[in-house]
Amino acid sequence: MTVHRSALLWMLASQSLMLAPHGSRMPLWMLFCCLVIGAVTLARVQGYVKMPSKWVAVASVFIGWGLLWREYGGPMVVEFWVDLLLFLYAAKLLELDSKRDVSQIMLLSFFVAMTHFLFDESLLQTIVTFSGLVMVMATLIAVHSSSTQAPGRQPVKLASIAFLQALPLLVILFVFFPRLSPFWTIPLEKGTAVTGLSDRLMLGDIHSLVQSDALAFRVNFTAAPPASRDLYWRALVLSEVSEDGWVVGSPPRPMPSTTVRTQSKVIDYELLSQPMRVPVIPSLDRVLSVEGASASLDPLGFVRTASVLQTVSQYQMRSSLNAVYGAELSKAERAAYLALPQRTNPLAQAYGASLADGHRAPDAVIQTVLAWYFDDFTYTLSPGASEGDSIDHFLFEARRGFCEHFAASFTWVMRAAGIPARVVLGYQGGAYNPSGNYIEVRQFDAHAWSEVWVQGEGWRRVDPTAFVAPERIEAGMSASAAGMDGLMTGEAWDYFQMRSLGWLFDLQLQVQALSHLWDRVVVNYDEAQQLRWLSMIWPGLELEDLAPLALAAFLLGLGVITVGLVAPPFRRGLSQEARWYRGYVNCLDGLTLDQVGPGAGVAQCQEAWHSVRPAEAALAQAFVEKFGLRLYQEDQSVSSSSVSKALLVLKV
Amino acid sequence: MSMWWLSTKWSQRAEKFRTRRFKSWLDRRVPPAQAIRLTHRNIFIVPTRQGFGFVLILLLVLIAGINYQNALAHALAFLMLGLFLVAMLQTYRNLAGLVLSQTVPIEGFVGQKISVAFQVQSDVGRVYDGLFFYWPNLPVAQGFGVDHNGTTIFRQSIPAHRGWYEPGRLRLETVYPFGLFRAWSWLDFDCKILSYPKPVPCEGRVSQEDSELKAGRRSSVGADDVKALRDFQDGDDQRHIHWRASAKLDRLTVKSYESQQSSSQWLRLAALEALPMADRLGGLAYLIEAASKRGDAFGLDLYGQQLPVASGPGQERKALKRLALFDWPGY
Repeated sequence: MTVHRSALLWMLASQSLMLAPHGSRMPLWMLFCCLVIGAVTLARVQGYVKMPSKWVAVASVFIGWGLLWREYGGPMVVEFWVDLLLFLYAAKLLELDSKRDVSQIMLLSFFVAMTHFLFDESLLQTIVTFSGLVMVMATLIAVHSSSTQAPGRQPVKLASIAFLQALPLLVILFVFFPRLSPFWTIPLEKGTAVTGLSDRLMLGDIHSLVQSDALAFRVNFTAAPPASRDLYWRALVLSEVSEDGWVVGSPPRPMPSTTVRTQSKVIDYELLSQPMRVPVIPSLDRVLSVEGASASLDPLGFVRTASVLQTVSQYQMRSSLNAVYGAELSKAERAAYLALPQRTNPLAQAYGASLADGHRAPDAVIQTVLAWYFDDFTYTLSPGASEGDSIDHFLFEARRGFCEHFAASFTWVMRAAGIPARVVLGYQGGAYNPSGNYIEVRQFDAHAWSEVWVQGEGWRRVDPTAFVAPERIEAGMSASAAGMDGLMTGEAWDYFQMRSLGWLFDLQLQVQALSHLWDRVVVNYDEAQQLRWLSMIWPGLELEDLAPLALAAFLLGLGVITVGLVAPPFRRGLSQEARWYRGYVNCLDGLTLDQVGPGAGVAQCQEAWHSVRPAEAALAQAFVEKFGLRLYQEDQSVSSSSVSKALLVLKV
Repeated sequence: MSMWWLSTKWSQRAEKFRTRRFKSWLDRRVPPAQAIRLTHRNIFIVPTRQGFGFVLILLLVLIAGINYQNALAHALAFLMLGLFLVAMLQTYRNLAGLVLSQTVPIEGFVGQKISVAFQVQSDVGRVYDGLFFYWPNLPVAQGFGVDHNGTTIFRQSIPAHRGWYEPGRLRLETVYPFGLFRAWSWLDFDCKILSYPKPVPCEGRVSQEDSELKAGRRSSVGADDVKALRDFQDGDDQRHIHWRASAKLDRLTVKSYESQQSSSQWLRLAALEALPMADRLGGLAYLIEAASKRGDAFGLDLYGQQLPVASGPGQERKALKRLALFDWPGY
């Protein structure tokens, strides 16, 4: 190979850095292949093995293509193309031979860097990717250097400098460059499973969520955040019972008169949602308005998106807390919210019917059931399995469970007792991050509760869990988890263990706050944000002004960098002596320093004086003497002004 | 018939016209000089093939960013644009401010690879790397880079014809640091290459004083008649280094053969008539080299054009130059 060994090592290091972020996502066999190719290349660089035959490279590409096709079942998944690109990126090493191959691999790295951001736009990922690119640039420097010694850390230093020089242009363009709408839409089906709510409630569903510490969403409030017990994030309304449990179904449209009576507290907030499994965005209690990409209000009072969220997205929302709504219920609605399947859970149905028999007011019925829950039921995250009629089993045998059990059974009993009721899925509470002044809701905050309809009042939120385990609602999942050693397992448990570590937890809070800021300011920087930010500086800015503004700012930045980098060197940093000498040489008509010769000493210049301008040779000699005394003998009696004066005489 | 214009000489003439125009433009823009300072006036720069590839990837990244509404893919595309422009400035900077001059004459035997030395200086304390010098008309032996101020040396094959050769403008080129841009300059030092005829080994029967020479040679083979030791100087034959003495004295020492320097001879072209015409000058070159290697004094007689008897490296150069420029019908 014609490439310096150290350059090849740089290349392998930067390629590993660029592949690493995909390591946990790519199929295991592919990771193995990449490692083998890397090891073989390393052995080649060290001189242990020779270059494999051309056919090895060709065959590996075809085999990789075939295996990936099988893995993803065809080319319709973005992951297929990404992994194919990564495979080619690694397999190129098999035919690595010249500087050009190294250059090509390094250029491809920039495209690979883009694929990182398709899957992860976090601050950490950005830092990893950009450091990888610094290594890539360092590799290019090492490849093109003609120095024969090992370059040490010099290439990384130079590459970092180039990066820092390019950064201002990045920032300028990022802020000003007009955001275009997509040319065409390719569905980004990232096969990765997203943890989150699903559109049905089977007993045990939330239990799996409670094990996960994955981030669900983060919220910044314009005012002080409400107390934890008021933070009911509604995501889905489950209004029908199917064989599987409570499902979304197709509830009838609410009566048009069911507008909100807004005597309650109205709050504004900004919600940054992570990718979801269902096309909804959790919103606080009763949402009044929402702004954000493809979001709309559902008649049932929650926020829908046009499609399932694939990226972190930001929404501006306004909600009213503890609002009462749905004062009137149509017949169709009433029928829908009372419907129960005939034969399942007979004991619960009978119990509900017996409550209704006493012709008591709905309030009394609700209180009776809640009192029963308070007396006889236990809150636990490991309720054990149930079979057959799960609600009967829970109510009359186990009596141990958590939110999903309480909400499902409570709603069932209410319907059996003739009170319209439905299950609401969402999140409850969240952890306040003082460093970033926001509330952070994770998957283990997933919650289910009930809404019952009371004549003359409308829909009322009833959370049976609050009666069984008030600390879950008052202080949030994180606080109640502390008293539940052994009950919680998995990541979520690690997360809570972390909280008890003091300074480490504080550090984690800071990091999370930073990452939240990153998501809000950078990842979600779109046209609307752009206009909002820029109109702070230029009030009344229109979208059409963006392009010329972007161009002007870009050219300005480029100009500054150009001047900084390539301003004629003789204008800068020359010593006084050098300027005298230059002035002296330039006095020779038609002779520049170049023509006298770069190494030309004073003696040669004097000769030139004598031949070109003999009349002034004496003046020139006077200058040269003073100059020489000043420069070489450090004679302080010759002042710098006298040298300048001698030069001035010469110039005139 | 359809491409009749190709069959005429018009296209060639146009090509010639273009090259002539380019040359005269270049002569105005970068006039010949003893020393040349590289500035924006005489540095040219365009993206390399890799540079265009980089722009293509930049556009793909931007399109992906737009289609997936991905802010960081946007950022990456902007970073790439920034890096591309910085690469342009950095590549330009890798030439700008250099002052080049050529002082040592370039001479050598036909086909030989010789070292060509240039003075490369810079009045800014910057490191230059990955510089390549070559004459486009001559086979490139090997490019060299300089990473500090001083003299740069590159290997260059001597042209295949005896005599003066004007290699034209010297091209100084760099793609450093990222290989995304190629910056170059055409340097005109007015330099000429002098090619000596290629030495052709031949019998030493060339002069009347031959017997004397042979006697001297015999004695040198038989005994170690080293008269003295002196310090190694550039141009000394490595075979004459006295290794044992060098090790003891801790400096390179050569044996000097005092006795042989006294021998002298006339090398005559006329005496080489036995050789084919084309090889005669080569044969003389061989003999000149051999004589000066031994330290013999010699004179040169080219059909009456005579170089008086003398010895030393100066004599060798003079003699070889005579051979290189020898003009006689048939040679």
